[in-house]
Amino acid sequence: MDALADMARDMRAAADETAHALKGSLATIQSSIEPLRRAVPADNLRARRALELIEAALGRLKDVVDAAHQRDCAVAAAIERGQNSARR
Amino acid sequence: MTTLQKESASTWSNSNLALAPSATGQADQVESSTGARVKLVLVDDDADYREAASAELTELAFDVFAFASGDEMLEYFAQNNDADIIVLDWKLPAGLGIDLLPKLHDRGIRLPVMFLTGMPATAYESAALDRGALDFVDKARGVPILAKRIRLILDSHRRARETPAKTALACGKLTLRPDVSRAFWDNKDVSLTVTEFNIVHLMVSHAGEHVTYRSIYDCVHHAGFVAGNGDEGYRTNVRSSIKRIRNKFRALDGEFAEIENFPAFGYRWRTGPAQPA
Repeated sequence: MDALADMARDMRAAADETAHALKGSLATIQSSIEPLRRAVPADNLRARRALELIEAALGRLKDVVDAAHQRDCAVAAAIERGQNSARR
Repeated sequence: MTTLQKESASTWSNSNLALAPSATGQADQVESSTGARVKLVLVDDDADYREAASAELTELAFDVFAFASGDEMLEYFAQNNDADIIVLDWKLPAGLGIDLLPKLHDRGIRLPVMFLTGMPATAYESAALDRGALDFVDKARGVPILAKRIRLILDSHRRARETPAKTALACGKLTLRPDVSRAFWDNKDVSLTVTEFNIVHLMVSHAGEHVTYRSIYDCVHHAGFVAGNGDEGYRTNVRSSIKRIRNKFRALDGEFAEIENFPAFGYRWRTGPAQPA
């Protein structure tokens, strides 16, 4: 039973670690877009559109990271619940 | 790192971040709440993020001192440097960012601390808040959001400092010393953290009346701050803080029963009213 508890804990720690690492890189991209946005002239439509696409993709990546993190935590919680009910 | 901002209007739309002194009192107020330069210490082991975030924060009227590790930050403070706020990455190579809180505390550095996380921090939030952390921000939400949250925190700190109540309060066996954020029970120091002290101070200021979960939470954060799971998550955080506070009083006095719960509403300090000590 303790092996299951360890597994749930490791799973949650790994999910946190991965989400944190990915978000760090996404945050760097997000922050680095800002000076580019300021530098791109309003009439450079292609470059403006490129920035929009980067941001849209960034938004989707953040959602994927959050969803994966939530899913892993939900599985870890389900393991813990199963273990607790088995104890009773 | 301290280049003057030039184009902040385009990065921080809908707010007045002008650095030039304003002519009217009202404009001054806007500036002091959103635009005064803030000295910020950032600790993050990711060099790229440090560089990108520091540059953006500088654009948004922050003077940034960025470090790769907690030790470097402690060294900075050891050299008699100061700051208005500390922003710590949740995970640092030497361990969790919250492990730096007691080290700062031991060195007498009591600045507001915010954490950058990469995930909803519910699991650790309560522990970190109890140890004096003030806020959590998902770093991927971008620097403008981070900057806004920092200013909200500093504003609430400033307001807390400006409110009077610097005089000691007595309430039965309890004495509160707001000037040093210390609570004494029967003349013995209860060893509350600053956050815990603020909660007790709020309840004692309203002794005999009930204080809502929300107002307890807001007294240690800025109004409207929501942590935990969903809208009710903050109640869990308040409950765990109250439990910790009760345990500290009970360690001095097993009979301690001054903090009463009113389920689904909040808490009250039983006896009152408080008198100037």
